[in-house]
Amino acid sequence: MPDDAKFEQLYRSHYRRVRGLCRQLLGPAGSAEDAAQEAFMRAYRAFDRYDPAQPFASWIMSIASRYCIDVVRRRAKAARLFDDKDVELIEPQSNDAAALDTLITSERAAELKAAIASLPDKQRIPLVLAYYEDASYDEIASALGITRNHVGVLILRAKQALRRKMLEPCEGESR
Amino acid sequence: MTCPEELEWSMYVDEALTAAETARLAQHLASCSACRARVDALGVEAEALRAALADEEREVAIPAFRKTPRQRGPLGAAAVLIGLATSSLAVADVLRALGWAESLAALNPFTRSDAIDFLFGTLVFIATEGRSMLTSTIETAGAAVVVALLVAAALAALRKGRGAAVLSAALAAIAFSQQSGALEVRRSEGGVSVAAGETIDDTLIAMGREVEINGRVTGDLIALGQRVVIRGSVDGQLVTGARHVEIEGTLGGSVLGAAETVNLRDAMIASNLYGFARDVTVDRDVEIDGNLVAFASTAAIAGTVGKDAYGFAGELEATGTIGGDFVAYAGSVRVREPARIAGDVVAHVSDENAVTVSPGAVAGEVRTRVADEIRDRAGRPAENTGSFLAGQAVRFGAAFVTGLILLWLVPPLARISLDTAGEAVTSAGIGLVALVAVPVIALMTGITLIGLPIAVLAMLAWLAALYLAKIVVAHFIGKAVFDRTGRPAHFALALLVGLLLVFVAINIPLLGLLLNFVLTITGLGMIVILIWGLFQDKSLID
Repeated sequence: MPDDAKFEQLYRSHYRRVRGLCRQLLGPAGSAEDAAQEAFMRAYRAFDRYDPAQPFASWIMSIASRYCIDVVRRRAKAARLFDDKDVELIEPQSNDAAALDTLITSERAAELKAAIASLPDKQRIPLVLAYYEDASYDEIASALGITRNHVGVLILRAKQALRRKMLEPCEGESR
Repeated sequence: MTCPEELEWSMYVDEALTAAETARLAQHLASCSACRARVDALGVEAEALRAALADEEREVAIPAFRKTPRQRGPLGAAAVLIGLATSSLAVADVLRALGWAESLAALNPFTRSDAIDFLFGTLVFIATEGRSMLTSTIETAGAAVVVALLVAAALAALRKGRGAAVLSAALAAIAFSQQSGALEVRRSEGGVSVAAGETIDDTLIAMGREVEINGRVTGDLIALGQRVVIRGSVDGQLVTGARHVEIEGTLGGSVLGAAETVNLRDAMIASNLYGFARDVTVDRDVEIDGNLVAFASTAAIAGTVGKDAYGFAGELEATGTIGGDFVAYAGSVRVREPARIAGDVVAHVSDENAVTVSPGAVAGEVRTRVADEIRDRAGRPAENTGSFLAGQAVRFGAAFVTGLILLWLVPPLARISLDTAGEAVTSAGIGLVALVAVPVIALMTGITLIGLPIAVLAMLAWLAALYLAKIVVAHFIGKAVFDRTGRPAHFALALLVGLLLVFVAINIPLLGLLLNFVLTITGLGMIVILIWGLFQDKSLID
């Protein structure tokens, strides 16, 4: 068991980031607070196994992401979530990648966040792991039990879906 | 030169390619301005995504850290407990109204002592009876497993899990290949029969209202129907489920019969007979070379049994020849002329007067063991403490060994985790549903006659699951104890500690009964969720 005061300090300094990861991974339907608490609780119990040579941030983030992936898996029991067999097609010629960036003006940032949150679990999770947790494709692949190439496909699919959403003549503006 | 796909560039920007791939793309990039523009755009996009995801949670309040999970749903837990109490009463009433055979009452989980006695008795029996009995049991079980696997394959094929279907089918095929070379299935609404003189040169599965075997089956025979009559011969094992089973022929292996009445008239059985029925009758001319095991309301043994006879019955009567011991768990036991029992007679009864033995019929000892119900219900007299502890130790050992084998055979069981109190309540709820639903569905299926064998198999699986439930839960508790100390232990150690805790808990007077019940349904729920998860996703498994 860790020294309580020391752990409390780690908790306070990493809580927001972990909660953010949980929120992004779980999507709008999940409780990020509960998941973050659970992740820290697991870290607290397993603290003996923590290797101090490794940054605490990446350790706690990997615990949190593993837990959240489990939760999402459980949520989507009926539909197999990550399955190497159904590698979906990538649009051969998609919208220009830069489209996203040029459209991200401050007033559309919220819209992009909402668009990310509305992505299907199987696209959102690898995207968040890559761009929020800064996990490598190999790490994501092993966390989800799929191949590295499949991770690439899912992330690209997510990007393409976001581009499409952001380019749509949006209802938001015309309100 | 064709340009690489967008997928490659996306992974290139995210530094997710191998060194060789990266080098190849970098080389291309040097000479292709279109791709350079693309890579730049992807890089900008990645940054935009990072930014959109990043500036979050700045103003989120940090709640206090909790070291233990929040006790979610104490109300839910209370509701489940109330539900348990009422429905268990309902179940008990239904069972009583349906007049369960007394032999089955011994297996009733609500009277805990006898069920474990019975299971352990079986283990001791296997240990003492040696290999022949074990192999024949395994072979018989193998035939039953084949049926179960076929059902599983069909179920799996209905769901999406093609992998599971293929696996089950493959396992079934392997099981069969060990049993015999091939398989023939005959089914018909009316009757299925193998005429006298006809030989079926492999394993036969016969399903129909009337199944009549007058010829010869060289492999195993699985016969399901309303009435199954065997007058010919079966070289392998016979597994049969029907309303009425009549056997007059010659059996090369063991017989497993589940029916309302199992009647052996002029049969020769080279191995063992297992009869699960309301009435098991073994007539005078019957010869069983192995053991006889009868679970019945009434069982009458007039024939010859080469080894031991085990009877779990309301009324048990022996007038035949038994080469070994005669062990009875029964309401009443009678050994009458012209019975000849070479070994001992051990009668477990509730009343000493329920045992009558004709003088001279038994070569060995006659031992009557009166199961003192009062002793089990409310505290135990001091003189029995020693034997009680010994009994518990034996049960503990049996549970431990069973658990080790179980966890070794089914590793996912060792990885079950219930993360919150909510999940524990869910598990208990599912377990309760399984506890109530299985017998009810089995009874409803059983009424349709054709469904009877399925019902019997379901009940047997249900009884096994009830026994295993506490072992699963014990291992889970043991694991939780070690995980909490931060030092995960080997599953055997976790099982040992968990079983100790569970055994102590369920032996607490009165409260122990409730704990026993709650632990059983929780474990049952875990097993159900695990099996369900194998067909769906790995729900409770890390």
